[in-house]
Amino acid sequence: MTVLLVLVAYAGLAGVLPAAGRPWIALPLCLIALVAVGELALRAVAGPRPENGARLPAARIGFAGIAGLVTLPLVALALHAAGAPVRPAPLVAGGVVAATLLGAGVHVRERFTRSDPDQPVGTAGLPAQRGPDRSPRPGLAGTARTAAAVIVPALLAIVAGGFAVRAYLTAPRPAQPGYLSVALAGWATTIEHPVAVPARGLTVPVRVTSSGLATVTTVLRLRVGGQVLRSVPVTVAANTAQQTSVRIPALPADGCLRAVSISVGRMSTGFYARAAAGVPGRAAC
Amino acid sequence: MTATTAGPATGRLPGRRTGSARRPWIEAAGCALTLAAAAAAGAAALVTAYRRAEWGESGQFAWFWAGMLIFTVPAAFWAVRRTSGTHLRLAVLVGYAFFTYLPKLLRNPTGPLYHDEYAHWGQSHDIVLDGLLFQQNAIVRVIGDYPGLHATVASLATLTGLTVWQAALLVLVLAHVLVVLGVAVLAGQLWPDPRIGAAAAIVYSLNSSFLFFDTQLGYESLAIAVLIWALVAGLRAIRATTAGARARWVALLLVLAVAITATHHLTALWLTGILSLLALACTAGSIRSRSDRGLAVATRVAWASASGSAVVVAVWMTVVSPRTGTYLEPYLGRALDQFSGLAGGGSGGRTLFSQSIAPWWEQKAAFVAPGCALLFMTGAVILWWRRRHHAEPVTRAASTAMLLLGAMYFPATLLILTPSGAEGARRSWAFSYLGIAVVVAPLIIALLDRARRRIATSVPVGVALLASCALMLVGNNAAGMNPSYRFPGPPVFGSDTRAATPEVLAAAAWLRETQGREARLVADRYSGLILGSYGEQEPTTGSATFPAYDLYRAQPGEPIPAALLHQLRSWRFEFLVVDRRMAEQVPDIKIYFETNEPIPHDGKPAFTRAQLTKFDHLPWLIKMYDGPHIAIYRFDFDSLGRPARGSV
Repeated sequence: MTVLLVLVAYAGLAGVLPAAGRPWIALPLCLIALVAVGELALRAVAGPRPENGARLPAARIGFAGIAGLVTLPLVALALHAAGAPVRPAPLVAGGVVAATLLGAGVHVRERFTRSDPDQPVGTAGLPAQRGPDRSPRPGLAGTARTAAAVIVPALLAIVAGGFAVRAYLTAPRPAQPGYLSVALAGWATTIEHPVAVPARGLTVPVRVTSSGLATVTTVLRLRVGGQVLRSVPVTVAANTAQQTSVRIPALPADGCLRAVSISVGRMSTGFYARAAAGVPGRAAC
Repeated sequence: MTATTAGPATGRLPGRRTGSARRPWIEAAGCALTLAAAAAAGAAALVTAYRRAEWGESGQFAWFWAGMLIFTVPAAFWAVRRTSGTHLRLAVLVGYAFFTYLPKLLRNPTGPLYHDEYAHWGQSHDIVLDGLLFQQNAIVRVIGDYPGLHATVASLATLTGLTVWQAALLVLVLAHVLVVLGVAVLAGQLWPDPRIGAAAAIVYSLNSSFLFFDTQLGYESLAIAVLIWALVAGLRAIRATTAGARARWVALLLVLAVAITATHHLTALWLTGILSLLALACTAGSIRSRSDRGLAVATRVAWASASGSAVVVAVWMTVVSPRTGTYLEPYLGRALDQFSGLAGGGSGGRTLFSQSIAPWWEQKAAFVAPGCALLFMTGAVILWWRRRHHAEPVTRAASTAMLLLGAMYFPATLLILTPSGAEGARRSWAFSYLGIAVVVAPLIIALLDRARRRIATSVPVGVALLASCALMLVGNNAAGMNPSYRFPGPPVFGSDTRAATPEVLAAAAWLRETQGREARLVADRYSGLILGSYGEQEPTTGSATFPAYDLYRAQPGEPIPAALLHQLRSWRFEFLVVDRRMAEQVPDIKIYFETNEPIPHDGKPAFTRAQLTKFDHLPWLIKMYDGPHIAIYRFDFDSLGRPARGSV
């Protein structure tokens, strides 16, 4: 059984890499591999009968599940310590190493301990948790019933939850608040310092976005140094992002820093500029 | 009230059938049909509740709780029913776990929504992109040092091709199911009656974190599941009868302790604390009964487990995350200060349900729920006292430890009255309720068994217990989670869960598209959430040592503090984000930047419009983006002090 579990873990992990990008194949393979690794961890610790007399057969499922789940972060931490990135191939390699080590651990435990190490003789009279587990070994029917006890409600829940989520997501929703925004675009998004405007002027790309609003006609204004140099009507269609250009004329060559503001309606974007051929650093501006 | 749960499992226990009188398949089919119909009706009611909340219609609270109770009450009945079969009980618990994840799943099925979710989602996303653990997180600084959850989610996403959010949902649902099963198995380690395990799982699910907090994409959601199973492993180690078995269970416990410590600091501390309580209780028991060699061995194993866990936690917090102490200390320190201020008659407290939209009956239930818990705990103490001579020594010691753990719930409820302690108090309940669940469950079963002897009392006792549980479920959730976290609704300024307006999302997208990832920026709490997650940037909201909020607080014409400008420049901050709603509205959760911000909260907006538009006149700020509320500026520190004409 141990060898079979190790092989299942190998097969699951090996299948993950070629299934990359196809979750409907990769996910079941990955989960099967993790459950196998978790079961191996459980067998290495507790042997084949971890329920230990409990009347709720959840210990095996729970321990295997939790052990499989924590395998992922522990392998990732080991990869980090080894200087490897958290990528599919290193993760699969880490999973293979974990499965191999745990398989070896099961083998060692089975070889060097009694067949039922946690259930020694002479424990009569102890409470169920400490006494020998006299429950029959989990046969195929018992395992199938336990699996069904988990899978059936899980499937029912997934179906009910799936319908509920779908109904919620596809139902009509209240309209979200709309907005109109203006932003620098193109080369202007890289402006980090005052811009030097050449004598021939400068073209500045601007992006105007409208979302959730009706088509609107508003005014695009260019202000330089606080003075309106240009004012034109502009129509912004509903739910569009349009790029427009605004030409900035040459600035007086006096070295002064001037605010350049491009506004669309109430929204504005802008930067500071001076003439390219100005006298830098003039104090009286 | 000694019932079948007290002593050795010598007789016939529920769930183990004899004879052919019962027909398990018919019973299972009946249960499946009942609960499937209840689940469908419950899910429909939950959807209705959320839809009503979204459209601003009344009744969402009533629909929500109707939906929850339609399923949980019959599920609780089937789970603790004496004649339910072993596998049927397991199936009911699995179904219960899945159904109780539905409220959170419906709340945000497609992406992060809660404050911490943005941080953890962003952290997992970064690992998928870069393949590196221990990256710094801009929203919650310390989480980069605890990559367990992010590594799990990112690994699953990387291996399977799922999106980060889909992988997160899978991990969270699994963890939620494992929590329910884990509590049942934990209680089963003390008492063999499976009904007690089922009852413990149901009682645990009444805690305020179960439905919404420990189901979110947060490190505690995964860590608490591992903690519960680590405690099971610890009890198995204590109960093991050979040295080899003890060593193997302790080894598993320590591996789980490493996983917990790598995932969440508080859970790791709680694990060590609970194991220490267990060791102390075993020590006390072994002192009383010196002749019990088994208990002496159990005591040594308990101390070894607690010490091992403590070493793991100490090493991690010393070597990997030395700043954890400074991260956690202010919460407790300030809470105790505020609490002592309250005790002295001073101010600094908080009014519960201030301006809350929760209905009156939810608010009343929130006040009654701790009283119910106290009543149950009193009964549990009486039961424990009566059984102290019959109970098996390890069970007695472990139940003592769980009583002490459960008792911690009550002082924590007082901390809810302080602004800084409220968060910590809420977070402690998920752990202290573990103790309550494990010790109250045998009381519930004992009461049911006692009532069963007389037909006249069995139904009223059962109904009273179910009603008490329903009241605690409603009250604890009302006390533990803000309605804006529990229900959808129209965008609200200053609400973590309603911050993702189309405008802010578009601004975040524009910044990422034009400026790339991981730019450092200054922002308010709510813009920062979106920019730090969807925008993939590194926002700061300020702190006492880095008062970035002073940028906004400065009056027009007043100089920005030179020390702050120096910090911004030397730490290469690139952008400033301004939400002008700060001058128009008071944040829904009364926080602009961070919990302890030096900003007045007097019911009026703390900023004037001039304070927030002054940036248009500063030549060292380039206005890159502007919307109805959000503006993004680029810092140009070289232009500091330069004069300019006009404004942008």
